[in-house]
Amino acid sequence: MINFLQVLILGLLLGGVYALMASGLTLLFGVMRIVNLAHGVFIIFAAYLAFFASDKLGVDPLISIAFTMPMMFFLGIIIYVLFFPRIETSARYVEMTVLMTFGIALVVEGLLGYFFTGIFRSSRPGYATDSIIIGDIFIPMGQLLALTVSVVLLVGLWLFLRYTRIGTAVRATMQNRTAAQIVGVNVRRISAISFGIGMALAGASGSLMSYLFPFFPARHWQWVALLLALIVLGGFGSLKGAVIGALSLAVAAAFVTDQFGPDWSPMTFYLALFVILMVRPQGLFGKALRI
Amino acid sequence: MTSAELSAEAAAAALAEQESGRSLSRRIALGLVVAFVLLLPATQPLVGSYNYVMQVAIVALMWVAMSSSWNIIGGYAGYISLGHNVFYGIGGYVAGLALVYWGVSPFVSMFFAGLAAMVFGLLAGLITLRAKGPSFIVATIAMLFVISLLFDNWELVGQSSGLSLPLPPFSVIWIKVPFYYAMVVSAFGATYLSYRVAHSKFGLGLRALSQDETKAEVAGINTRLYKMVAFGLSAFFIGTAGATWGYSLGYLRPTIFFAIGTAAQMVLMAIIGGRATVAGPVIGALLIVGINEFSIVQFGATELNIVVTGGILLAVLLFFPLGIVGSLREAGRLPAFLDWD
Amino acid sequence: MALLEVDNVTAGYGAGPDILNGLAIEIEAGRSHCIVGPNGAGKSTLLKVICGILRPRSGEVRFEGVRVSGLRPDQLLAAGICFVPQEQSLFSEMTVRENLMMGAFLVRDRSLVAERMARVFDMFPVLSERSQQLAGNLSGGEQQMVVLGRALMVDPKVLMIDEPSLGLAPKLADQIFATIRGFAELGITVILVEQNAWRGLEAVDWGIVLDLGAKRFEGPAEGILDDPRIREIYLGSQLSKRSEG
Repeated sequence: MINFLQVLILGLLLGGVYALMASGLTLLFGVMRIVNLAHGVFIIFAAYLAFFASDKLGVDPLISIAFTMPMMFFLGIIIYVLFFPRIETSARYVEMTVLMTFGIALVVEGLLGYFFTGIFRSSRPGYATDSIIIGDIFIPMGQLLALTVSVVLLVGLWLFLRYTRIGTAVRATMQNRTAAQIVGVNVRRISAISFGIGMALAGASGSLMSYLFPFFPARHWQWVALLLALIVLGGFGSLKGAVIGALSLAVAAAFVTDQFGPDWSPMTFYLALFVILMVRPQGLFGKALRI
Repeated sequence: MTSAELSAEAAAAALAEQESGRSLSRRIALGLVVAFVLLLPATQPLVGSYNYVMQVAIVALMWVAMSSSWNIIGGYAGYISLGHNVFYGIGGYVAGLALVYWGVSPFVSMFFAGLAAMVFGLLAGLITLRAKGPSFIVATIAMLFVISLLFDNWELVGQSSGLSLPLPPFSVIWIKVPFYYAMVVSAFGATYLSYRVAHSKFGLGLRALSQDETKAEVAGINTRLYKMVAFGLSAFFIGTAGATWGYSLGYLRPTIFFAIGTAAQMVLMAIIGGRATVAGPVIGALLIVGINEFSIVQFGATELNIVVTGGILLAVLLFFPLGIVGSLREAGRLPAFLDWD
Repeated sequence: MALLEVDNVTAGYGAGPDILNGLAIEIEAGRSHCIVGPNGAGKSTLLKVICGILRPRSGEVRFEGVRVSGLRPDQLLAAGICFVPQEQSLFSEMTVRENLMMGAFLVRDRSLVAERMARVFDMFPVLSERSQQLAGNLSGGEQQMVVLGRALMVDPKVLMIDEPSLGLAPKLADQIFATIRGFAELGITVILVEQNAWRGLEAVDWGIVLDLGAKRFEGPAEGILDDPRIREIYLGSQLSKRSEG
């Protein structure tokens, strides 16, 4: 029983972080129908920012969120404006976004590799090795703090979407882009802002990654595959689905790791993906996809 | 006959003559290309860095085979697979294993390797093709990662350290030649397959479903079957190419075959050359291999190559989405020898 | 000067053929109009061009004398042109109330928004009852009311509605048309597109007949249906000649 609880808790701790990572990705699809294959590489880019801030300037990774988020927000707006309005009228728009973000991912991965090489990096703040012990269960401090940050940011995102004017416009655009246009939402501007928000979430995720998981440029594909698998499970465009998908798959993966070892844990995500495709292709909370 | 009918007839005759003129020049050009390819190894004594030329040629032929094959599902059917190199690895490993455990030469077993890849393609297609659009793309990536993970942990195939293959029984001077011709088989095979698909009713059905799957269904096309067959067919020559490549390297390792960069290259070549055309992937493959070789010579084999690949992809998507062959055709300036559709 | 002028507009979708071919129409303020014509005549396309969703390939649209073609839909809305499309245009995961609030998205004055909301609930008591329900869960007729109510929140100068009665049972369609007549009485210039020419023309002052992307003729709504030209346009000249015997 204790072991079960331990594994469950470890899974939930990770799941929260995965949820944060996936939320940006699914937001991009929900608002702009962009499948951002470059999401992983941007998380890693932010991780490098946080790592070097910690390494050279002694900035704590959690504190670094205060600047990785705004930096990534503006980077996101720039990237959106540079690449996406041009292809808006393409016949096969969603497919174009996939290919486009694929290209962007390659470029960024190459640049990161060139400047920072392929050495594994990881920050080592004090809390990365601390844990809280409750009875027989130990809770790694670093992950607990990461979960806290994720929860705060996700709740913040939810509040923003629910109660602010721009957030409402974002929600409206997600639900029905044409209808949003005709009630006066400037969907072009909202799209750019949403891309910025998605990237800001990637930025925060990167700060967390910088001490949670060893990273190097080519790693992003594993992350993207994982995040996409859980978004297919949760349903493209559904934030609720991303959170639930992340938590449930992370917990499942934790049990798989416990039984079979860490090498097999990614398999959980892919198998879940295949199962959901057979059973309910639009995911748990997704609408049937209109391409 | 009225004068109108007479002049219409004359116009038709002139057009037919022009067409047959084009067709003749196309055949001559293609014949020359085929002859050049087949006779290239014979120029050995004349060219200096022979092994280098042969190696580049083998690589180029391999990519022609792979991108032309990918085009069948990614171009004609419009289903973008980003995990297609999974067939590359399966082909490589099947042939390699047959060599190590049964002593069968990959030059023989490569067809079975291709077949194995095709069967896997049909099975994988059962799951992946249930998804449309972005979900399909994600499913193909997952397919790649799953197989990659399996091979990384499977003792039979040497796990992540891989498997060493015995050397082929040829003298060192001519060692590249059999690999060259094996790749020629894959390249010609894949291009011919692509050509036949494009000019068949099957190909027409694929194009219909790539435009609008629902309408194609309603028109009586069994889209599920067509997609699966396309997926399976697209795997065959990628498998044979993998078998040849693994043998030519002398060892098998998951990272060689299952890196996602390989899938990226396949896709890029087909897109830059012109998706859904027969000649497009061929041109794209030759071009990208050329650019890669050039940039390695200039800059060395650094990560900047990936930047160049990504940059080219972006440039093509933004400015020439139809690819070289497609854009030329749109502008009415496609030379006859490239017009294989 | 007409309130809205469509001046020799040619338009189409993507890389496709021209749907509108040199179309010229004038819309008078305070009058209600119905645009009729066979399938493919370009009726919906015309509305999309006016409201900014589709850019004309040539020609101009002018509103109150000022050129507006090429502006974004939200800019046109701010100018007072409101469009209700044929496709489902509700925010299905928002409540009725939230949908109505979205109608007043560009309005900053809260008391004005409250005033308009009260007016909408007055006109559509059903919506007041269902104000906290998710719009996606309402019946077809109620959803259409939400859409029209939302348009009212905008308090537009020009209201364009594409196929208001589509998919609705006849009795509900009657209600919708009665509502539309009510809008016209509020001084809003209404432009309808209706496949069901008879119904559409009954509800308005003025009829405009389109075919193949151009205006064929126009006139007071009452007289249009009796005009022999309309039979020709809907049935094709051969058939109508034959039917005349």
